[in-house]
Amino acid sequence: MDIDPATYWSQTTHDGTIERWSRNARRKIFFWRWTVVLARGLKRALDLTGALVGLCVFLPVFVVTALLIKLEDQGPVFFGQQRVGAGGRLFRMWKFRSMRVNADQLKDALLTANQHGQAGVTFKIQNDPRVTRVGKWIRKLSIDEAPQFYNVLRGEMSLVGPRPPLSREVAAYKASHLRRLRVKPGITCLWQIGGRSDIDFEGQVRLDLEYIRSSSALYDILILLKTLPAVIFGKGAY
Amino acid sequence: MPSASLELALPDWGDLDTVRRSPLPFALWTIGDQCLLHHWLDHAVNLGMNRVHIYAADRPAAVRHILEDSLLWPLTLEFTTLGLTDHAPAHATLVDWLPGSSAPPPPPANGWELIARASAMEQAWLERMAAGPDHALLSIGFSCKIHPQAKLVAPYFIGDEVFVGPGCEIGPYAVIGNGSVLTGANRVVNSHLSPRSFLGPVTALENCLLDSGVLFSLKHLTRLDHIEPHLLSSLDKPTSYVPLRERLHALLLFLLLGSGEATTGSFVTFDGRRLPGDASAGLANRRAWLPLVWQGKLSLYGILPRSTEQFEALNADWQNIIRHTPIGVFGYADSQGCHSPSDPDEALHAVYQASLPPAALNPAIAAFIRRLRAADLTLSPSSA
Repeated sequence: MDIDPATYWSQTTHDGTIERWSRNARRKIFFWRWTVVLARGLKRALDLTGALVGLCVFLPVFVVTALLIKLEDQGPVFFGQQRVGAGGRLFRMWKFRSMRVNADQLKDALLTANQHGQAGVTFKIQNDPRVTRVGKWIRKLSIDEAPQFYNVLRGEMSLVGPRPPLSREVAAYKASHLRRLRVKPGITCLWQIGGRSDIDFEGQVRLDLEYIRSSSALYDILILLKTLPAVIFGKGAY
Repeated sequence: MPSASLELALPDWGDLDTVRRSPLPFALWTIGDQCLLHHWLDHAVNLGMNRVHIYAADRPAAVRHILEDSLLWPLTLEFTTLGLTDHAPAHATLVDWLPGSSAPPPPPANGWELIARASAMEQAWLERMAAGPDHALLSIGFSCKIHPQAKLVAPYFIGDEVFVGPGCEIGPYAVIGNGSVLTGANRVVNSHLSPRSFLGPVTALENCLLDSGVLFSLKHLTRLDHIEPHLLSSLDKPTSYVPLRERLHALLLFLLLGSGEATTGSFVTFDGRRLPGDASAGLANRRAWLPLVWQGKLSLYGILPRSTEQFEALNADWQNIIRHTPIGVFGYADSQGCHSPSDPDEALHAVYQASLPPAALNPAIAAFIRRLRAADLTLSPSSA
């Protein structure tokens, strides 16, 4: 900007200049306010539509899955877990149960096999012995995550956003990792389509921050479309 | 996990804040992307702490309110209100500079030095962020619209939902608060824009702080309260905003309680407002104050208004605690049977109310209002 104060003030002396600028200013404020409101509304509308369509279209698959889980070990069909949501608020995230009923008790014995390191923030292992036979398939096809459409309808989650961590994972976070909790968590996100569990924790955080910076309704639709092949081919899911 | 804790004492610089006159204590001033206290909570997380104890003397209710919303940090937060920061334990760390810095400058001596200190801290924070590996990811918030012809010069920080128009030059050392609108051809260098600021076309800021539409120039040591709104302004609601619900409640009360006898005289409260009636008159004043709520000039809930003389009669610690608490027609003291600041017990209730978040005691005050009858408003403070 190259304008000296004298020129600036001489411009304002022209008849109607200030009024025109004021009018333009009010118009820009009005349009930006509505842009922000519409962007928020569009994201929520996309979430509600996507979740409702997902629940309706895959209802038969969900019924079959529920029956198979019940028949395998007579345990509960759904598994609710406390997760950390937007701004650090806790909520109960629902999944189809894919592990044995006493999976949490067995976890301590398996810490040495953690693919993300024994002191790693997150816990992932290949050929996890706690996973049931039905669980192995529904995890491979990501059907176990489907009950999270209910969390989306409740407004606790979004279709696209950083995966919600466990409280114990957040307790091991560094301050820079907390930035990923600024937005509503989601069912799928950039690292889910980029290689899913194969990406280490730092890589996941970077992709989440990249998503937060670039988020828009169009970007969400793009990620949702890219999620489909990742789910169908089961890339990085085990 | 072993228990590790950090003890923080917030500086009591409320008396020094004669220029910015912020409703928040210094520790809650925004430095970069969050308030100073939150930078210290980040520090505690990085140190592996799981408990933080905070001691505050300056506007403790505001600090407590912020802490209640600080759920993001996996920390147990404890809080103690003090009369003076000197009463904090000797091992508590003073939150007077960014964490992790070896030599903070000497304490400020006046209001301009206080603002300059915040500005220097922000520069240090921006440099630290720019040197980090994730600068590109952290320097711009979400849902921003930045025109391709805008020029961004590191280090800078742009918050969420910011509009940056064509030809703008942001940085170095610029912080743009959430929801701000920079219309075009703006230049922001070494300056801080509070959330929801508006810059009109061709407005340039250098070495400035724009806080809720009030401009502070650190270069010329000048405070500008009234500026043409097309140049710069705040998109916020005015700070003296009284919610419509409170206004309607006050109107209903005014109608229910009747017009009563006319109040004579007026007094000046400790926060500079002139109210009708006598500061010692107890409930007899309240009917005359209700129209002020409807007009948005006074809250319905707050500590009872006291005159400057009544305020100065309190000890320094108590003055400090209630100095920045909003006054209202009805206070927590009313619910405890004390209706006038002349009552020796009233100050104790006012201090208690000032130490809690603004709405914490509203149910008790609302219960008192429900029990109130027109005849009560004619009683003297001693018989009420």
